[in-house]
Amino acid sequence: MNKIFKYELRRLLWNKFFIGLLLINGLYAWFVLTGDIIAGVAYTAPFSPWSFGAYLAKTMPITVLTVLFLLTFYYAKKEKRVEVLTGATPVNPVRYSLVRSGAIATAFLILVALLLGLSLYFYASILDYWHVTPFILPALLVLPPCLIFALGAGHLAGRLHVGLLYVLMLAVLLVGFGGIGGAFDPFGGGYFSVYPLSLPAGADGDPAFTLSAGFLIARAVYLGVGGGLFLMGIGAARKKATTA
Amino acid sequence: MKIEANQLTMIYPSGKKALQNISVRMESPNLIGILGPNGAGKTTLMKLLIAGLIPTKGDILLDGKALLPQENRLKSQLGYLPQSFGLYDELSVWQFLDYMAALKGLKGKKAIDDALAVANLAEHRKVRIGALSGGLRQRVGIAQALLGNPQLLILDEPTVGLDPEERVKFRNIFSEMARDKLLLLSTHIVEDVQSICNRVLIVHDGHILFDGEPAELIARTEGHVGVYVSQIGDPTPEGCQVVSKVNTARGIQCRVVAECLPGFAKAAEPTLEDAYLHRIGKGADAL
Repeated sequence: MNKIFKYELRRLLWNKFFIGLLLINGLYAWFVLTGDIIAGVAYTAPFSPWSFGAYLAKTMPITVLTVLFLLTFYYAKKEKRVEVLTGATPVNPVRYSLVRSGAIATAFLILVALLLGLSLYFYASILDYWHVTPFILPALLVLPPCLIFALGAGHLAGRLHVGLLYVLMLAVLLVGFGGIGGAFDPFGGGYFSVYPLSLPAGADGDPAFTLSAGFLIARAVYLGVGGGLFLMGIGAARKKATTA
Repeated sequence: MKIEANQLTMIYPSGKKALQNISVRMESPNLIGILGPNGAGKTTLMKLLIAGLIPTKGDILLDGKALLPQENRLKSQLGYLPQSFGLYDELSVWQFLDYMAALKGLKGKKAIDDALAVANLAEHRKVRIGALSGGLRQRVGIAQALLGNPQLLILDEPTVGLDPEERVKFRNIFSEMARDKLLLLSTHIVEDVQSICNRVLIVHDGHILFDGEPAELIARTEGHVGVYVSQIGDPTPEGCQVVSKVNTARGIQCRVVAECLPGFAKAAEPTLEDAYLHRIGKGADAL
């Protein structure tokens, strides 16, 4: 399966679309950092966990769109024509699907590495801020739920009809840039920008990074639902292998 | 390897009856040609045999046991070339075969090198698949089916898009492979079946109209093939199906198959193509 993973990664990453999307992600992230985050969110410092969380949350819609776009490669008509060959091999369809999802997750991690790298460069070069530890918790709260939900919803949508992936991409755009706000914002941007306003300022002038139970539950729900959708998508892979 | 299909019926969700109550038994070594017009049910039969579809009724046995629970065992011994397939255009020929070999659980480079050599693709091994012609893509398709020297080869129109020289070459390769394997070859090219198959199945409207040796099918057509010379504008005699027309100095020389030849037609030696058309013309009613 290592070989399959290597080839899938190569197919995903070694093409003009991914390189273009990587550039778009990078440019947009830099735009967010220098436009919004430099001033800090909710009157906190630009290097506060709140501001960093808001940065990741604001860049996630573009990153999730990229993941969904990469998923369209796996459900395109062209891909289905190759499936008639791969489906006649003894490979376990669930493992095969997991490996391919792993390749997508790796692409997501590469994008995240770019976002994190840019932010660290931004903090170090512009704000002379060199600490990383305060950013770990906001990153854990934003990134895994976004990845798992995108993979889960994307796989299931793709299995049903590739067109649904484009509908999902539209929904990501609407939610990501229209904004739900509050604890149930799937990306968390609205939450990180508003919730600190309700907290008392700490010793350093910024409110402590204490999160509401509602927000934590919402993150767990996105993670759980995303995982459930992912398992359903994988289950569909097994069914397809015997009844297509 | 032995595959048995018992009273197999396949009705698609759209309601289309692709196969109706067919039974067939195949075992290695054998090279079986499947002939039939478009939409006859050939591809459906092949998909059922590779467990790509679940039959509406009936069962398929692999070496005497139900096929579906043995799907993995079947697929580990299967080389399959569908009629229509896609390839990863962004990979080179070698990389694609390496990918398929990994899916088949094959280790090492030998299987890939052997398949490349048999499919005459060695010089194209580094070429990106997206840059290949239709004929070369077909050869990549054949090469992936041959990976790992499978015991069961199911090839749906394998010689489509190949030039005559390549077609003859692959025909001979298939014939050699069938010495110790079970090879099912679906094709529209009757000549391919006549040249290499020791058994032929004629599928039409979801039924098997004939299952036997090509020579037996030809023998059954003796007396039903004739030639005569006609002029421009002459109607085709009733009940006759024209197989070929050749313009000659005396007029148009027509070759026909018919249940009852017209009196003016001179009997001719039947070919497998004549026999096939004759059997198809009689339809399922003559079963």
